[in-house]
Amino acid sequence: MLKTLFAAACAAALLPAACLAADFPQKNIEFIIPFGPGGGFDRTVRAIAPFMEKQLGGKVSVLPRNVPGAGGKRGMATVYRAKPDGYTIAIANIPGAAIPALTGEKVEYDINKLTWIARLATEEYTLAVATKSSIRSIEDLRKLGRPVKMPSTDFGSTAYAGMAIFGEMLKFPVQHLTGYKGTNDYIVAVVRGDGDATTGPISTMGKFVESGDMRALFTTEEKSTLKGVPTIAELGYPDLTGLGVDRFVVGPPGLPPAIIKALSDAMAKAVQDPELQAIAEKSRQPFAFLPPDKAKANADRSLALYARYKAALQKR
Amino acid sequence: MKPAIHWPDFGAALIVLAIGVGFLLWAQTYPPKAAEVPVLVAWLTTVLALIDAVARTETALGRALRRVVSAEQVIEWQADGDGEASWRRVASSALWLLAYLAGVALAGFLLATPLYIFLYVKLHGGRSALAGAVTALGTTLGVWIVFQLLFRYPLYPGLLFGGF
Amino acid sequence: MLESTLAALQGLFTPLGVLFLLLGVLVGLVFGVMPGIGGTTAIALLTPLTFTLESSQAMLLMGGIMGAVSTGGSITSILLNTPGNAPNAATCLDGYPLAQQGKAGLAIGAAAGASTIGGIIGIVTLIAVIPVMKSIVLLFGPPEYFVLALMGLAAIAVATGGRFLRGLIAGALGLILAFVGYDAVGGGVRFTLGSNYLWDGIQLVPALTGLFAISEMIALSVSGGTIAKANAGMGIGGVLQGFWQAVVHWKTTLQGSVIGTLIGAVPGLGGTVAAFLAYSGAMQISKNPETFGKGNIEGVIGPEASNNSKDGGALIPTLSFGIPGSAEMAVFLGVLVLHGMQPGPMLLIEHEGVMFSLILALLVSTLFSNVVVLAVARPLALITRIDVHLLVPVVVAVALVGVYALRETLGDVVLAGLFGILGYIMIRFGFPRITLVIALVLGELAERSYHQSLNMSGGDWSIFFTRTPSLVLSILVVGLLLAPAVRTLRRGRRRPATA
Repeated sequence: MLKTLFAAACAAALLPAACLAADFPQKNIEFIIPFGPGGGFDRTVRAIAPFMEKQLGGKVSVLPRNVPGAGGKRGMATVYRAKPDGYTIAIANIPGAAIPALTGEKVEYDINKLTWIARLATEEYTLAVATKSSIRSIEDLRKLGRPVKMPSTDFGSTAYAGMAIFGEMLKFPVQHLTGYKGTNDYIVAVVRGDGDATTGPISTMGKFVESGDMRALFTTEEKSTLKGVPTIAELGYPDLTGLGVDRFVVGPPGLPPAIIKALSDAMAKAVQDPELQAIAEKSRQPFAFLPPDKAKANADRSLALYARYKAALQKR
Repeated sequence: MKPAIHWPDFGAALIVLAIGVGFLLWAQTYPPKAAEVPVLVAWLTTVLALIDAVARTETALGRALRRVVSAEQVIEWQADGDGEASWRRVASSALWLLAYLAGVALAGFLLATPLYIFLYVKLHGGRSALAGAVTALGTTLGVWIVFQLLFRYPLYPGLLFGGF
Repeated sequence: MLESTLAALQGLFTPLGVLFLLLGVLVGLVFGVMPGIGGTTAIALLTPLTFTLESSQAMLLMGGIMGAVSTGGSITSILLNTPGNAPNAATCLDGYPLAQQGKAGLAIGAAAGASTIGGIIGIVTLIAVIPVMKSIVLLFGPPEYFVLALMGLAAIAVATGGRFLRGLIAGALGLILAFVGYDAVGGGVRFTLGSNYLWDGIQLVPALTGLFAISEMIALSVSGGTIAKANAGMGIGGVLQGFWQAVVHWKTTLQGSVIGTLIGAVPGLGGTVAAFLAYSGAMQISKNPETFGKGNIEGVIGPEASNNSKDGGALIPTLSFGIPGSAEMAVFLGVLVLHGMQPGPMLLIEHEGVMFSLILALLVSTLFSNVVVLAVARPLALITRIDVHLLVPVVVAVALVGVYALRETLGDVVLAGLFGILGYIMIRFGFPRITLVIALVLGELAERSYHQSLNMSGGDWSIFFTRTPSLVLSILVVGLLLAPAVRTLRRGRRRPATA
C-alpha cells in the first residue's frame, strides 16, 4: 500500500530526490576514467565494474568509459557537467585533479563542489636518489649547496606537487626538471644522473630500490614497507604522513544522498567480494575503501594540505 | 612567352608566407622560453616561403633561385590518372567530406554514414540506387557489428542525441 | 635463460597456447587493417579479457597482436593508400603506386617478406642485447634525444625526393603544428585558442589518417575510375615473387630492420619515425632514387622491415626499466601490472619465463601473420578493381569511425577531415606530406629535449657535446646533413615524384 502511494507520488513528481533513489539504478551507469586505457585508474574501474553490477541487482551495466585529454581535466569536466542523477560517475586522482587549479591553470570544474562517493585506493610516496649518489639523508639534500634537481613529468603531476611540498617542508631548494614522458622515464632520469632525487609511488619506485638502482630516503607511509627505510614521521615530520595519490569515486555536484549511498554501498560490498580481492592481489593494487563521509574528510584533508602549499606549487 | 607569375603556385607560396608571419607574431605573445623555438621556426618558415615565392617569378633572381633549389614552375593541374579535375569537381569532393563530418557531428555515425554513402554513390558517383543502398547498409552494418557489438566501442551519437 | 626459453616453447605448443597466439594474430591483423586504429587500441581492448588468463597465455595473446598489426596495416596502405596503422604510412608512398600499376600482389608479398625478416632481426637483437639493456637505456637522456630528433629532422632533407624547397617548407609547417598544446617544460599552453581539445596537441593518428587516407579519397573522388589503372595487368601471381624481392634487396631489408630496431629502442621516437627514416634510408642507398614515390619496391621493403623490427627494439626500454618504447608498449605495460608484474628493473629478473613467452609469441606471430597475408593477398588485391565511387565513401566512413574509436573525441574526427583537405592541397601544390609528418612527430620531442637539456645543465650549451653519446650522435648528424643534402641538390634537376 505504501509502495503504491509512493509510486503515485513519484509519478506526480512530488518527491524527486527520493523517487530517483528508490528506483536507482534504472539504466546503465557510466563510469568515467579521465585517462587513456591501460593505466592504473583504468584498471581499477574495469576491475570493480562487473562486481558493482552484481551488487546493484544485475539489471543494469556499469560501463567504464575512457575520456582522456588535457591531463585528466577533460574527464573531470565531463563528470562535473553531468546530470546529478547517479548515472554518471568518475574515478578521480586526488590530488591530481586539484593541482591544475592550484598552479593557476584554467579548469572547467570546481573540485570542491564535486560529490564524494567513496575512496577506492591510496598509495604513498617515497623519495629516492641513485645508489651511486653520495646523498644519504635529507640533511645531505640541504647541504648540496645548490637546488636539488628533481625530474618529473609536468607541472600538473602529483609527483611534482609532492616534490614541491617536500622541498618547502623539509627546507631544501628544488629545481624541477619537467618534461619526461612517463613515471618510469623520470625515475630512470635519476638513475642516469640527469637529476639528483625524485618522488614517486612506492609500488613503482620500490622496484628500483629492490633492484639496487636507487636508495630511498623515506616513505610517507604510517609503517614503512621498504626495508630499512624510515617513515617521514620517524624523521620528525608527521604532517607529511599520507602524502600520495588517492583514487576517489566522484559524482556531479548535488548528487542526492540516497543515490550516493546506493552507489557507495554497492562498491563497499564489491570490494569485499573474494573474487575481486583476488584480482586486486594479483595485480598488487589492493583496495582501501572509505565510505562517503570518511572519503570526504580524507579528500578535504588532502586538498587542504596541497592548498596550503599553493605558493610552492606555483613556483616554476 | 612564359607568364611572369604562375598564380596558383605563387599563391601557395604567399599563403605559406602569411602563415609564417602570422605565426611569428602569435609566438611572440608567449613568455620568452616558451616562445624561443616557435619564433625560430616561424622565421624559418617565412624565409623559406619568401624564397619559394620569388623562385616562381620570371625575374633574374627567381631563375637563379630555381637553379639552386629546383622549384617547379608549373604544376600539372591534373589529377593522377584519367578523369576531370575542374575546380567544381574538387570543391564538390571536399564538400561531400565536410557534409559527412557535419552529419556525424549532429546525428552520429549510425545515422550519418548510411545517408552519406547512399547519397554519395548516387549523386556524386552516378551509380544505381541499388548499388548505393547495398553499400550503405552493408558498411553501416559492418561497422556496427565490429565496433558496437564486438568491441563495445560506443559510436558517436551526435550532438543532437547527447554527444559533446 | 635457456630454461626460460624451453619453458616458453613448452607453453606455446599446447592447444591453449596456440589458440591464444592465433587469436592474437587474428585480432592484430584485423585491427591493423582497419584505418585509424592499430595495435594500441587492440591491446587496450583486450586487456580486460586477460583478467582470467594465466600470465604466459596473456603474453602469447599480446605478442600475437603486436607481431601482426603492422602486417595488417601494410595491406590497406598498399591497396588504398590508407595507413591501417600509423607506422604503415610510409608504405603508402610506393606501395600504392604499385597497386595503381596493377602490382598490388607484388607489393603485398614484398611487405610480407620484409616484415618477416625485419621482425626476426628485431627480436634477435633484443635477445642479444638483454644482458646490457639497462646500460643502453641509461645512455640516452634528453641531450641524446635532442640530437636524435635533429637527426630525424635532417632526414627531411633527404626525404624530399627532389622538391627540396617545398619539402623544407612542409617540414617547417609540421614543426609549427608540433608546438600546439600543453608545454610540459614551460608549464603553459600554446597556440590552442583556448580550446580544450587542442590541449593535447595535434594527435598523430587523426592527422596521419587525414593526410594520407582521406586526402587520397578526395583525390579519387575527383578523378574517378578504379585504383588500378585500366591498362595494368592483374599481377597477383607476383605475391611470392614479391616475397622474394625482400631477399633480393637484402641491403634495403637489413637497413630497414636496423633502423627500426634502433629507433624502436629509443622511447619517444616511435614506429612512424622509424618507418619514414627507413624509407629515406632506402632512397639513399637505392640505385634509382628518382623512382621512389612512383612504385619502387624498395620503398615498400624498407619501411615494412622497420615496422616489425621496431617491436623487438621497443621491448628494450620496456623490459629493462618499464619505459614504454612505443605507444603499444605503454598500453601493454597495463597488461603486465594486471598480472602482478610491475614494470621496472625487476621485471625480467622476477618474471623471466613469462617475458620469454612474449618474445616467442612476437616471433611466431611475425612469421605466421605474414603467411596468412600471403594466402589472402590475391582476393584482397581485387579491391583495387572496385569502382572508386563505391570505395571512397566506405573508406572515409570506416577511417573516421576508427579515428573516433581511439579517444572517443569528435575533435579527432574533425581533425582527420581537415587534414584530409590539407593533404589534398599539398598533393596538388607539390608539398611532400612525408616531411610534414616527420616534423610533426619529431618537433615536440626536439623542443622538449632541448629545454630539458638546458634545464639540466643550467643553460650551458656544452651539455650537447660533453656527454659521449650525444657527442657521437652530433657528429653523425653533421655527416648526415652534409652528404644527402649535397646529393639531393645535385639530383634536384631530375623529374621529381609525387609523394
